[in-house]
Amino acid sequence: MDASSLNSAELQRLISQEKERAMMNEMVAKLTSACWDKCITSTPGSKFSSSESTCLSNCAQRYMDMSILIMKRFQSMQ
Amino acid sequence: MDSFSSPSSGSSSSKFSTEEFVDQLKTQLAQAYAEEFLETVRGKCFEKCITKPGSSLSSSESSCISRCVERYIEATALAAVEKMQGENHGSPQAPGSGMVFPGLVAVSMYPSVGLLVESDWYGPVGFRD
Repeated sequence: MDASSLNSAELQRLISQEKERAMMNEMVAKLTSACWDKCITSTPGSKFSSSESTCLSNCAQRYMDMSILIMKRFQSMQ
Repeated sequence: MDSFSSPSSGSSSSKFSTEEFVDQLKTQLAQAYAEEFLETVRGKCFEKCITKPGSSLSSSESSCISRCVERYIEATALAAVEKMQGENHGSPQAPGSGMVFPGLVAVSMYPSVGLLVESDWYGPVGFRD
């Protein structure tokens, strides 16, 4: 392998793959942070109560639903 | 290093290969993700557990922090699972293919929460303090 392969399509592919992973990581981190704030209102216990874990799952799903809705709203404005 | 000036068909240890570059990049990225995650956990657990800072960490504060760290990792796993399921309904994709550390680690730590995740994650990453 030589230095010219750094300009190849392989590098492009790698970069877009890493970009996608970074976006995925960002989304999961954002979901966790927002839903933690919404759902874990008291001192953390040794496990989640069923209402806490239900809240976390629901929260993540609703956040993603909202995300899609916002996208659609923006698209309809153009 | 003159490895960029001389084209050759063979690879030698003095050449900087794309493979090495890719490996280094992935390691650096994984470390960056890990540090970012740590920073988030610090913030959240400080908020939840240290309500009135004293002259030292009390034992209740310490145990709160331990539980908080576990719960936050678990919460990350829950969010990661929902996100993966959302991805699958949107477009066909192998579960976990977009996953990075620490979401991936969180899911693997809580198998009851997670699905079976296939991934090519980055390997062991040390936590620097």
